[in-house]
Amino acid sequence: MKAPTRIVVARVAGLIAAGLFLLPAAELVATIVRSHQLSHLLPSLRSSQSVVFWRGVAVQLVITATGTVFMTAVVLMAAYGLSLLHGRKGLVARAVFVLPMVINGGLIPTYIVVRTVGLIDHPLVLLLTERVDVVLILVAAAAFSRSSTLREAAGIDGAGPAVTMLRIVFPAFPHLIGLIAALSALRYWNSWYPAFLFVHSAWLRPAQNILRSMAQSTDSVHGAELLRTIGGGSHAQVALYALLLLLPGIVFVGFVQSAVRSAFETNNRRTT
Amino acid sequence: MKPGSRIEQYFAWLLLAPAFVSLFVFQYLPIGGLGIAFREFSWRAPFGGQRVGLENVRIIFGDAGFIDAVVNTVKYAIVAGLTVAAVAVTIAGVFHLKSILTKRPSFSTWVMAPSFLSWVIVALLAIRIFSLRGTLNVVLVYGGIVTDPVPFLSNARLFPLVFISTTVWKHTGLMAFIIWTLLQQSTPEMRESAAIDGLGPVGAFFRIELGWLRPQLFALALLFLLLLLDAFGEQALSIGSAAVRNRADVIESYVYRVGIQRGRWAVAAAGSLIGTAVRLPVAAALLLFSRRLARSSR
Repeated sequence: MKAPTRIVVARVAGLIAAGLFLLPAAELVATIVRSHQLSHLLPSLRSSQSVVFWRGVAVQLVITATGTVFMTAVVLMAAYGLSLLHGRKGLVARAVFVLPMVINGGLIPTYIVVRTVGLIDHPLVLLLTERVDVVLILVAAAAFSRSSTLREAAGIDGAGPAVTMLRIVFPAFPHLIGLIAALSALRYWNSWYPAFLFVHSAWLRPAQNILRSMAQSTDSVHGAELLRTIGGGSHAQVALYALLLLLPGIVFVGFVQSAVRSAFETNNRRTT
Repeated sequence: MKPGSRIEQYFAWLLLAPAFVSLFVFQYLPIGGLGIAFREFSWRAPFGGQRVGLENVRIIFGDAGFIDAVVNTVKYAIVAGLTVAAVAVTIAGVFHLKSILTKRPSFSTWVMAPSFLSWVIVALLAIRIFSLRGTLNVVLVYGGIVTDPVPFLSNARLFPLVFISTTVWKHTGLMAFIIWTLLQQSTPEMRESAAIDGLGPVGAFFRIELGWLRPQLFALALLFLLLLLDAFGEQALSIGSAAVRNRADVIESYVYRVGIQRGRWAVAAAGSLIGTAVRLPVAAALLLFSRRLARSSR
């Protein structure tokens, strides 16, 4: 096969692969278009009946904003701390992180711990029960451990450890920090499981959980009740809400991808 | 201040403290809490009930629903794990060859998108596609392949197809992207020497580049398998229904119904214990392999 033909074949194969992944999401758009209710659907987003869904969106936004700051800070601090420890201490600290990936208590002991510490139905449960991302910590720690020359130079200039971390090392890894923040934000935007397990109050229910109840309305009494509150909740309306919740994820994907690519390019430049 | 000084070491532990506290409360305490499986449970003293030995384990293994859940978990992990790995390698290969031929890195964002959607959205899409009036049935009926719509979501024999295809759709993109980024580190010299040996780009990809990445791919596959096992609970609770419970239940969804819905905490904790045991061989393989990988890269 000649090179130009190969390029065309590879491009078509790439498009098919992308299409296969895009097709199910296109189903949502098709549902909205097929419903012939577009003129009613969009105003319904502003109606007083959709207040339950918008309250859920507000909860999801608050969780995402606070969760992103919280998780990014915890991951960055842990990763930098880990990069400073060498030898046996470093090994012990790494083992503390890796062990819960290998063994975990599972659902019931976690539920009992959360209930025992009084976090059931508490707003903080939505933040704290998201698992600390160990893989990100290990990746970031590996990146930070290459900054020993920077730290040495800062030390000679008389900078303390906190100043070195915040003013010298972190600004040298903007893509990595961006990636950690983006992944944390996505994680909290998509979060529904902690609320499903640990939250009973309607005012604390995130949009993802409201959508889930709407989608499963035929199965649950609560979902059917919610649909009546929202005002009918046609298939098209559920599809529209799903599309709204899906869009930020799609936007973030582009950012995550470019951040990873830049990180790889920077890494390649550094190694060469 | 010298790198490695005592102040720097204290500072390091101080930075690690928030993550350690979070891990201790939400990961290590529950591991200790698995002991509930061998005790009578009461909310007055959740971890200090009277010992009952293996009674709860016996009760849970006496339930056919639990056996189904364990079998489903293992079966889905093996089939979905292998399928995700195979599809991801193929997609990564396509985009890698495209990058080589067009001489610039190229990977479609859309392939990765499902990995960044919540299980709520993925389940909603799956239900729309596989339902009686869903896209798949429309295609099958109008294409003349079947005369009546196929009940993918309510037929216990067909449900595994829905479960595995949603797993593959959600997880493959990210894995393909990671493999593709690893492939970007392969050198043109590798492909040139393969070309001298008479291999084309596709042959070089399968015989040389994939072989070169084999250890990393194996470790990645094991890591993904652990992630799949973690996500099965969310997935089963999102797309499963009462009609296909014997095929839809995995250990975590079973434990959720027995523990949180029915309040049989000690029996459900025994289920969590078995769930941990199912993860162990995969996790042990990952640890051993990572050690070998780290040693060989030194």
